[in-house]
Amino acid sequence: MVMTSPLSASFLPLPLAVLLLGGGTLPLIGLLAEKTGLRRLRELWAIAFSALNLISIYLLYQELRASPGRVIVSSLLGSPPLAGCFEIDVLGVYMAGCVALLGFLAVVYSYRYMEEESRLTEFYTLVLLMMAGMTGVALAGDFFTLFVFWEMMGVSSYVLVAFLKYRWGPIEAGFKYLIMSATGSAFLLLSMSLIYGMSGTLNFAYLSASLRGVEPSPWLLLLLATLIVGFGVKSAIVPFHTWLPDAHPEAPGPISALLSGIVIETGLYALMRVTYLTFTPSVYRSVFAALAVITMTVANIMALLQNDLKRLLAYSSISQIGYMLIGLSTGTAYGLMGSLLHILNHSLMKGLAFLAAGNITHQTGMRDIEKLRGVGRMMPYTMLCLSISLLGLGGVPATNGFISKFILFSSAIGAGMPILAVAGVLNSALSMAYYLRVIKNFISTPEGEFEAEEAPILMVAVNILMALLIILLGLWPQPAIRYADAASKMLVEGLGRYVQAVVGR
Amino acid sequence: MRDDVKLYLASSILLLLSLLILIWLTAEYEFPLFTYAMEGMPRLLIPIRSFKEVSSAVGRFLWDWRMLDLLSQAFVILAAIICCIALLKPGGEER
Amino acid sequence: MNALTPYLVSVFLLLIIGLGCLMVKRDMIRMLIGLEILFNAANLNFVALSLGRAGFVDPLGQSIVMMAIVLDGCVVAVGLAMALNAYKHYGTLDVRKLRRLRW
Repeated sequence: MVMTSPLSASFLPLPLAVLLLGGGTLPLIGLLAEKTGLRRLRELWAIAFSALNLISIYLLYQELRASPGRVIVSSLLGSPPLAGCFEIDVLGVYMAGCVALLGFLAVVYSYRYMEEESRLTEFYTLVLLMMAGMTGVALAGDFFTLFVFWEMMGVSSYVLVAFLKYRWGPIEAGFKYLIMSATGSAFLLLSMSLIYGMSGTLNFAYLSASLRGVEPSPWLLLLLATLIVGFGVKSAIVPFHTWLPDAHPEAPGPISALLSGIVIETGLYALMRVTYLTFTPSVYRSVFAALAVITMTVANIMALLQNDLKRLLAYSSISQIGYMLIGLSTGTAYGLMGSLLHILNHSLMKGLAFLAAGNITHQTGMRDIEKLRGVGRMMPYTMLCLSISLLGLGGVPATNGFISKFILFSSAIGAGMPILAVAGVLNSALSMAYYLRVIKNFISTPEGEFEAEEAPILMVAVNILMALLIILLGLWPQPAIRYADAASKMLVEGLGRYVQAVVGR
Repeated sequence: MRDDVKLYLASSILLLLSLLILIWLTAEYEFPLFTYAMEGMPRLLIPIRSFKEVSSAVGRFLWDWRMLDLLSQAFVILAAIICCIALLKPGGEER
Repeated sequence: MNALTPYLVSVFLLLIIGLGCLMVKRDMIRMLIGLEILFNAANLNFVALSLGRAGFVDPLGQSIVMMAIVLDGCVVAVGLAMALNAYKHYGTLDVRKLRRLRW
């Protein structure tokens, strides 16, 4: 059923409008704050807008739930396929919801973490614009609209990585990230031109109606290859992942959490959307399965060798993307549900891990695991939250990581690829090795080389909230599973409805 | 210098190989130009008869049908401006 | 060998030249030029494929090129700001000389 509604059909979908408004007015508010001396105005403005964003995502979801399988199409002037449009379905709202949740928590955290930095106006503007870009990617219905918001997300994140520009590390990491990610964007543009040449349109629904089910010719395989390169650079699939272990540690704490938690998952979501719309599963199953195994294995092996806490967490992010690729390669709704659930869980768990690591670096200024021996005894609340998140990442029962990994591996067996499940379980066991090493190092008796006290109350409170959410979703996963199930059905069984929403107008 | 020479050699071999593969692809298989386009899909075509008017016609198409992307692009330009300010503003001393 | 082949061959040639420039050069500004060459390859592909039917031009492809040029310019502007910053603080533009981030 297609209906245009007052909430989203006017100009832009409401969450996107809220974020763009906030990001656009923040420079003026920053100027005002400096002139009048109201010091905290910028932070409060950013927190207010991210909270408004969360509320509007909830309203949008309520509207979609009114009738199952409903798709809202909204465009500005003129109608698809010639015009850019937003096609809002449950999958888009799911991704936008993940963005909103982690973004709100990260902005509240950075109220205290970033208070001694300069250029705070630019920081909060770029965070809000990055969130707007990610929301736009999640809700886009036309390939070029996705590209514009993709660039918005990318440009903001390049400079947020290089934000602490008085040291060489962030600048080099930011430049390397820029070069590799912009190369990916160029390949993405190339794949868009190939799609345009073959089917004359760039709209997702028309594209699906034209190109799906065509037998693979060499040009279609070239299209698949450029799509994987284009989206894979941003979402850190293994041959293209080399920017990530440099960029994530050098970024400031809450930005690392945002990058690892939701930016790379947005790349994965875009890959998921476009390949499920354009190709039938027989074309891409083997490619994604091979990429999943390579990604998981290489990342876990590299993570065993790390001594830097944040770099270890960055390699762990790459391996979690490998787990999500398992779900992508099955081609069924069940596997896709596992991937989507893992996106939500990973954003919470990895976000918590990076924020707890941010606590530690804020108090001690060090990141080396060996030198930080015993820090857990000096900062008990932070250590508790860090342990919960690391155990969740390893897949211990009673955390939500266990549930999503269980769904992923059982879907791999059910889709006839037991090798993937075996590789996944072995990699899970391997990853527990380095997580337990971190926990053991931090809890052991301190050598007496440094002193640290507990982080400020606001930062600890955000950490505890996220840890509670992890355990809650682990013991009572039904709502999240239902949500992910409805979202995953839109790409496999509800594809016809998605296409009809635009083509049948 | 050995490292440099090795890098040049490896990258030139790789690139030459991919170039040969791509040229073989172009020569052997004809590009399926608009073959998969749906019937009855609305498309707007501009005749090249009046050569000078093509650019203004494309411009009119841009403003009539692609307004959403143009407005979003304005925000991307805003983001790039704020990025450059954040990078070039003198602030943040050594800690 | 229809009318489209020379355009496609030049697109692939530009792609290879751009990738080669990115792999081999070590100066920040030269790497940004290689990035520009890559973007131009994709834009050329769009323009070449918009001349699908003889005697007619499809305006969709060309308007997308106009917008893609702007987006690409934003990315390169940010890259140049980073290069400027690096030069002001450290006096060098060589990406390999100060490579401290190992494994």
